[in-house]
Amino acid sequence: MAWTPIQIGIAQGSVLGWAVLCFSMAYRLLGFADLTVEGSLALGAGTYAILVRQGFPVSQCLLLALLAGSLAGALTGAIHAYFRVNQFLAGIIVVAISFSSTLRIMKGPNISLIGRASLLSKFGLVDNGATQTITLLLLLLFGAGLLIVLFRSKLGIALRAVGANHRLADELGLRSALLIVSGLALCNALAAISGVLLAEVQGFADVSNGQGILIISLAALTIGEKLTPSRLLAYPIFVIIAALVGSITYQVVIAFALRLGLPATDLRLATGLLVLGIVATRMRTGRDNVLGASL
Amino acid sequence: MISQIQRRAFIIVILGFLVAFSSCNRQQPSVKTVAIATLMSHPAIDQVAHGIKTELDREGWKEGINIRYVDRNANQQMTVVPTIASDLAAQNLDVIVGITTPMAQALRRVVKSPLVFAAVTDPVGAGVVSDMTRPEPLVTGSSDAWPYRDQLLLIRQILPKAKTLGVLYNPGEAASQYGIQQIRHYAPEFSFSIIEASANSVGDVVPAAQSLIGRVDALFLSSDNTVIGGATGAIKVAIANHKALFAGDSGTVRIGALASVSVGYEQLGIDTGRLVGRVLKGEKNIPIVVAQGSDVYINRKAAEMMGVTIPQAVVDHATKVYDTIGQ
Amino acid sequence: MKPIVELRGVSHKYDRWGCEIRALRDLSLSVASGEWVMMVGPNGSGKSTILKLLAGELDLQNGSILIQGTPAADMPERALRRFFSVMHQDPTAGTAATLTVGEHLLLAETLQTSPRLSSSGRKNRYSSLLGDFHLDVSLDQPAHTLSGGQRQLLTLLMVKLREAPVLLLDEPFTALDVSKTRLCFGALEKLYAAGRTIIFVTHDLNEACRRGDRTIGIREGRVVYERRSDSRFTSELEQVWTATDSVAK
Repeated sequence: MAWTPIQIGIAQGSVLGWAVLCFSMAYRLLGFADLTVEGSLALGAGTYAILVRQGFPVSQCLLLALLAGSLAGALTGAIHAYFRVNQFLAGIIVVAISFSSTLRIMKGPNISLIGRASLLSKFGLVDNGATQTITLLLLLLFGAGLLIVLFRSKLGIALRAVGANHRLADELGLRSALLIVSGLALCNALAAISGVLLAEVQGFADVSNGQGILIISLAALTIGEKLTPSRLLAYPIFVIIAALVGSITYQVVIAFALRLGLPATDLRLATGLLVLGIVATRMRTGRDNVLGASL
Repeated sequence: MISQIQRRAFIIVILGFLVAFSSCNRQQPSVKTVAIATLMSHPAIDQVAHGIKTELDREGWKEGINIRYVDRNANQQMTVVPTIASDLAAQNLDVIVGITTPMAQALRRVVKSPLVFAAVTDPVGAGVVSDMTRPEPLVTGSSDAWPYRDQLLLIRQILPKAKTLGVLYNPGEAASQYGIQQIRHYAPEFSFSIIEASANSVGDVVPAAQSLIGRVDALFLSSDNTVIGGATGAIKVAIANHKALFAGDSGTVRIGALASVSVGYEQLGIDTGRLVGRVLKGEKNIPIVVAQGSDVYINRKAAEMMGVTIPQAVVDHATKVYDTIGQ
Repeated sequence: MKPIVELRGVSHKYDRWGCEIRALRDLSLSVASGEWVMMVGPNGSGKSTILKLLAGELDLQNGSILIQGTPAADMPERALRRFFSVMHQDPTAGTAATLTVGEHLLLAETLQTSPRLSSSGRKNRYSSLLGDFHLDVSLDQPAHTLSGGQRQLLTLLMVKLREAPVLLLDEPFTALDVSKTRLCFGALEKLYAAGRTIIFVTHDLNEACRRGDRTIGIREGRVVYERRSDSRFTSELEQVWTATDSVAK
């Protein structure tokens, strides 16, 4: 059934969508090229898994996973803002710290959650079916909705001001350093949610869960921004929706490529070509959008 | 530039192709489908997959006639693993074989078809099964718990005077954590002291090997996916410094490690193939097979280049002796 | 009356990439509250450096800066930032490309300590503000869709809303056409009448003498001219300008 790759893609796209949001929001709205997501995703997954294994109530596990992710983000922001280290390096340092921290927290590189009472099972969904997919999608949409509300609020505008024009933000007297730290903390808490959901859906948490999430986020960002109509949407809404659209589309593409049974070595090539195909069919013939050109 | 209509037509054609392709997999009832999914390729894993197919062929399952294989490889991309698992779960397959721990875990989580895991070092720890001794109806498989004690014994036999052993492993892999504990446990018995060097990715293997060179009498490559992936580099470092390098699996001996007491991965593949055959015939509750690895593999060319003489007794007892350094 | 802003013996040099540039040499300057000062000087004379030091963009190296008698170093940074409103020559410096017009105004208005104005009347207030300045843009337009001149106007509107006591303007109207410039000066006059202090940097000698209360000429990091603003003094200022040796006051 052709529906299944679409469904699988939507499910995985909804799981990883939070991490894509982390990257997109940091990059587009906070003006911060944040690499931390690679570490905070695994940190969230690992923290959640070890606590579930030890029998803590699921809601506590989730909360602590979020806390772990946000600490990683805050650390990146702090290293950048207070130690004047550039964005990339700050993120890389924290990814390295996260990796070791995750290993220690997990007391090993892999924790299995198969057969354990979990978040999804609480809602009566253990299955790989349509219900799980729809739930994951609705969760993501709900989260996106909350974020849209946030970024239209005064605090959200202040955060965006720091990202859009750092000098202006300073001149206005905004606490730029604090805002960056808080903003990144929020973004990486989202990445931790992806980690938690990934652990739930795949049945285990592994310290290398975050590997490759940056490439996925970049691909999702590019696809999403090309596919989402920019004319009718306010910028923060555009960025958030583009992240979702991109994440899901990309995972659907991968699911189809897998279903086609392409040889292992060609999977990445195929996905690359399909991404290019989507992007090419949306190329505008006129003057390019100021914002679209910048990545 | 292409017009709007042409663009739309292009998209529709592409989508049409994809839909057609993916609906195309209609099976004939008499052909069985077996999926073989892995996280990545490397010599040991490839031997298992090959062994499975060889055994099934021997039992009468001829490809294209009464059996069809669906191969999936995540190419080390962890984020693709759940997608592969979901994809396979959604198809009506007769048997799904999962090689490597993460793939087996992901499959265990979602598949309803019979699952056969292969080369999972610690199936209970990974959560793939709950008890090694009590078979489950739809899950069975093979485990490659390595003979760590025999390995250390072999090293002692070949290098009677060695005191310090340098072990390379990836702390990020579950099987290796288990392995390093076992090595530490058995080392004192053979009067070895252990120095560890970690490699988090294939690219870290050479620097890790170099960091050990000056401090140890011999190197030991743990059998985790990362280190095996970077084995050639470590072997080069060892040869250049005339240090003995041992490995935990036979495939690495073929490409230049000095010696190994190994799980024969080809044999493990064959044993797994037998399990698959039994499942295809409808059997349930099949006990898990644990590899009986006491095959000694040695590479004389490597020994010569590392400056080591292997005692004749060892050579005589070896299962397989390589005289060249393979690719 | 204590001067609202005062520089005493301030020296500043830029030390980078192997070359040393002395931007300010032992410069002293004081501005009274409510005064409109025009600062004029050739390129590289140090006028922008003075503004940057006041605004807190540069760290003080030598000398002292006093704000209402208190050394600036003793003031908390946020209070210092809120004391000044800056307008640059570059329209993109004072606005953020992806924020909308309305969001800019909102930021400016809410970032001060005066009693909060209700959010319900906000849209109307902003719309009428835009109307007063003939700024024909919608509140929901992102700043990058505005022309350079329009962005400068927006910056001025933000300055108006922020109610900071001292305005630092660095050649702010060079990107604007004649009618807009007139409008802006009109707005500036109103702010001046309301009691704000204005330090206006320009390189136009005529303008420098014509407007404001006092004209200060800066050259090579020193004050070389200081007079009550009057267009009759333009030629005198010009002579100081073209003189080959620098003349201390």
